[in-house]
Amino acid sequence: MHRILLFLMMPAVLLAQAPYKAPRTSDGKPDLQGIWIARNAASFDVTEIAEGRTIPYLPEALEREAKADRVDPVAHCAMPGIPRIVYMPFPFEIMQRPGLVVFLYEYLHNHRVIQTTQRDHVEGIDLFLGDSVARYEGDTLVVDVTNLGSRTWLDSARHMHSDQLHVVERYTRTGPDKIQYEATLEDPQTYSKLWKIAMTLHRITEAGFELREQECLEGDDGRAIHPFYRPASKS
Amino acid sequence: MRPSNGIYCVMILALISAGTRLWAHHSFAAEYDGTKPIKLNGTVTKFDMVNPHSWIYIDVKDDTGKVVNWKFETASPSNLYRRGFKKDTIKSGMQVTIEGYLAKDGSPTANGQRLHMPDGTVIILGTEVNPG
Repeated sequence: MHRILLFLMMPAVLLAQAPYKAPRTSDGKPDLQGIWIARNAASFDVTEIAEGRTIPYLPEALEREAKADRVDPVAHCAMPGIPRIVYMPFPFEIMQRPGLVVFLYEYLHNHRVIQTTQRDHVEGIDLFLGDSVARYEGDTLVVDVTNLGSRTWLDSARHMHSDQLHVVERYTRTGPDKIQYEATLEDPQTYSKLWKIAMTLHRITEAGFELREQECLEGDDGRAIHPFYRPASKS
Repeated sequence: MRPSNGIYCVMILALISAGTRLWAHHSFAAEYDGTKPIKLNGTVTKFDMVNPHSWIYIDVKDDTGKVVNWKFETASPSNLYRRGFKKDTIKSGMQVTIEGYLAKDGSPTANGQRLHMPDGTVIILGTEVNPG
């Protein structure tokens, strides 16, 4: 009887004491696979998830920003860039293969196919989603991103960066349905120091949930047209 | 579970209330005339190596001495990169010759096909729809 009681109590003891251990992929990496979404409004104002709720802008960066274009690039169907694509209010899927991690974003059918073997970043080209190189550090997937250009904003509230932006993203599974996402942003032309964002990514557990098409079209007036893309659920 | 309708509403409103600038890319046939080749020599004023298509701007002097800023639409950054292009391959002030096809709208715009660099190197600029 005593033994049975001890056996029954074990999961509770483990939950209370041991940190969550993520399941492993076939090659022994922390398994992050599934469809995830950030449930916040950081895409409208990234300070919501910023450490200290502020961005350490350099005065000259604010001056530069005051003279810049005032239209959110996303309003012209531009790709949102990194890290904004992660907290756009649309689901994305993570798939892992030995040597690769694949991010499929429903939003504008963006994707990243990232090598997990180390290589130098490319040189002399800027891309909306930048150049990503990944590695695993224990239970964390670390993605190092450069070559992001200066055309993307961090949100609709005009928080911006230069082409010197260096983002290091960290994905850590903290529960069956949760990933802790953290990223550092470094940009010597825009920020006085490195700053951090952090948020939870939630697994979409709805049965049969699949990524759908989420296109953005420009009308003749240059405005984005974002049709509602998922039929209302029958209830 | 899906994002709340509230978030969609905020997003749609934000998008609708935003910009009015026309910034779309179109097909070759809609924009350019494949029967009107052009070859211009000028001074580079700007190189935008950007998706969906990169643009090279050059100042060209006409017979009367008037300077006109011409813009040439070229391939996507990734396509150019695979041909050895980098964002500093073309610098402002550089003297180059570009061959291409004139825009239909009569503006000083063309679809770039071949770029002659100062050292004589020729780089293919063609976009995905290459009439050549």
